[in-house]
Amino acid sequence: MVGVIEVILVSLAAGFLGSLTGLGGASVTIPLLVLLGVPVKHAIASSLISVIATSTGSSSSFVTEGVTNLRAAMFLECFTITGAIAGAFLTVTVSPTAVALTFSAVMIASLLLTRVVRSPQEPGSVKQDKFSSWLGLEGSYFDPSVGKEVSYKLTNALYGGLAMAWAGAVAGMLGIGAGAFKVAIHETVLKMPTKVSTSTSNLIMGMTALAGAGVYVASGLMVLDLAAPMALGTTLGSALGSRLLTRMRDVNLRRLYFALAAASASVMLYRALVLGV
Amino acid sequence: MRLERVLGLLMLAGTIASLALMALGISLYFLQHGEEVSVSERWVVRSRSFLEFVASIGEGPSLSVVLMKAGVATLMLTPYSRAVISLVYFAARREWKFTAITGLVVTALSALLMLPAAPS
Repeated sequence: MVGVIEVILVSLAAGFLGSLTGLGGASVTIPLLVLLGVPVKHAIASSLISVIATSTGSSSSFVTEGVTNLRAAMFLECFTITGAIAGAFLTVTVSPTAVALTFSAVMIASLLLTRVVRSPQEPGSVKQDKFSSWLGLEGSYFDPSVGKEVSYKLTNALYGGLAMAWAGAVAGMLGIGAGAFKVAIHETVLKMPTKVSTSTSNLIMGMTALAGAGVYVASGLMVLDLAAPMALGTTLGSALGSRLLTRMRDVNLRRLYFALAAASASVMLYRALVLGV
Repeated sequence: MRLERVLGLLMLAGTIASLALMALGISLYFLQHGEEVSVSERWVVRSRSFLEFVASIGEGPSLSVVLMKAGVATLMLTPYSRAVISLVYFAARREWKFTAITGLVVTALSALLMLPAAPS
């Protein structure tokens, strides 16, 4: 079994790399801990505590600055927490091998997701559907890169919500933030501007992880001496990573993302098929 | 004060407080039990709900466990408090659609965190 210092260091490195690439710290920490001998379900359950920590820590400034769309977040959280509860119940019920295989499949899917060509739409050119308009899903934020206030409207709220339920299920089942999926849904379905999408996704991750963690606390899978060092290491690592992010070249970050997602998928596949988890 | 500012401060304070409690708990753990992480009965949360988990914080069995439990509980209560504060804010502003949506989130989370799970 691993040591406390090892868990902190692994989580610190994973939080750092996960934050740099946008893959998320938990997607890297869980396979590493499983590789070190931690049972997969315990690693997943305990990891959700670090997802809450990184989400609340990194969201606070975006929320204060008004970049995050709080109303859209609250609407979408109805769907993500439902998905997360269902996903966590699934992990409690199915075999560890099935969980590890699903983890591997999701990492491969997130690799493919980056291949999907997204055509960014001008925030002002989005035509709202009736339901999104009725909900009043719109907003504005100050964009320092263009030096002005950017107004935007969201559309396809219902379809976006349903897709977010699936992203929530992935997050709850696998103990990850599933940020790559959430951001993709925000931008392709809801037509959310990138900055709003990233910050709103960050906020939603915390509430989604709370729903999953609620299930794990009551199912005997949460391990205190694993959850606490993981949360501490991942939060510090992601804080360091986000500071370095602006200095890194996009092409290097993209390569790193591919390498990490492929490594995470391979580790879980190896544990599931060769070692039986 | 704007809702955004209140929630931003709440999340920052919740994160700092919980990480500080966990860091203290880990330090004591290290001193009392050594380096090894053990996925054993002593450290696995055996509560039937989050509420029961919170109620068990003071029971120990050691100060390091108390601190780690308090850190985890504080962290889990942070997004929950965000939903409750948002609910009060939307209701006070008579934004009924979002009061209903936020009410749904708070109700679902409250049921999940407070109702005990059925024994397996």
